[in-house]
Amino acid sequence: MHNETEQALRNLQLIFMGKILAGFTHEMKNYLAIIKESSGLMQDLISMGKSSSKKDAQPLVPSLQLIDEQIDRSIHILNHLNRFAHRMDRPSSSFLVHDILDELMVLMSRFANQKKIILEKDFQKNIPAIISDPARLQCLIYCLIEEKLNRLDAGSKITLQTSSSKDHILIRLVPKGTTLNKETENGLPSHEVLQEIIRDLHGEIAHEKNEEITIKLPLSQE
Amino acid sequence: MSEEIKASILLVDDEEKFIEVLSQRLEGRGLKVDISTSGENALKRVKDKDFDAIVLDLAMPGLDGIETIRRMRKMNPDLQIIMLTGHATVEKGVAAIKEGAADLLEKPVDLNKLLSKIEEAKHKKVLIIEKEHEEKIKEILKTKSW
Repeated sequence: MHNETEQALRNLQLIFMGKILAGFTHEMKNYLAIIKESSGLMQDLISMGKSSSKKDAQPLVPSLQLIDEQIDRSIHILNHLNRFAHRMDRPSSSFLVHDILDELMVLMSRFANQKKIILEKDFQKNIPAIISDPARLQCLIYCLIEEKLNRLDAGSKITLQTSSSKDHILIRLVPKGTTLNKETENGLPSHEVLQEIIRDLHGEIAHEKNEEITIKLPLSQE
Repeated sequence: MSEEIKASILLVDDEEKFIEVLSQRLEGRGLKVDISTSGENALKRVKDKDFDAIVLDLAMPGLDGIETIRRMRKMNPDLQIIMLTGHATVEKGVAAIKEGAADLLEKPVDLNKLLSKIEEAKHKKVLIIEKEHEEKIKEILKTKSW
């Protein structure tokens, strides 16, 4: 297949996946909203009930509150997943880097938990919005975090740091812990591909000796 | 349970079960709630009745939230409309506010937050009515010679 056609197909696939995912999360939120209100209504009825029936129904309250808590947890993830899906709507948009990093951290927290690695953030306040491709940037950072998750031992920590200057922002990935000397065979793209992504974003990437990675991005691609 | 609020609202969402349960909870807090499951039907309701606030879902089949708010505001620019959205995009929110939505809340909604937005909307509406009355009185005073 011609390279350009292949690229166009890939983009189409991404848009397709984004749309399906956005629609799915939207529906899930609707269902959860009904469950949340139903649980809330039961709690209202209990609290409004006569004292005798209120006493009988009281043991139900902790269970209803547990339902509420679990719904809130689900909604938290679904909100991030919904925003993540919408990142694929357009190849270029204005966005806050902190938003996309927060999204990734929520969506990747399960992977980190399974490896017993802590994922934390150290963001500089008031980082300006940038104009770039948010889905591609998330993909790049996902690959970098995933590679670290595969190479770090349990109990390690990965910190995402941000800072900015007049015309660019910096994202630093700082791993702390024991690095295992194993080659990663996990289907992640090669360094060449990652370089290609960063070129596409008009940025730069630097791998430092202490395993830290710094991504430099312009505020605007123009 | 939170304090009672005396307000009349129209709840518009195509998810019937959602508005059924939400309206019961709101009624339990003293509100008078009318419900509508489409933008088209909501427009008819607004034409026939005066509401302190309209709680409107953004994504609905047929007439969507943005188009509904546009038509409602054309009918009555003073309507206080609170948008509900399941989609978390900034663009949609900006579009709704541009069309004149008083506020935007994400679904599933925090009931206390919704109640405080309804109260705010009612307060805004009262201020608008008071201002209109004041202007009418001024007009009358101007035209009379006493």
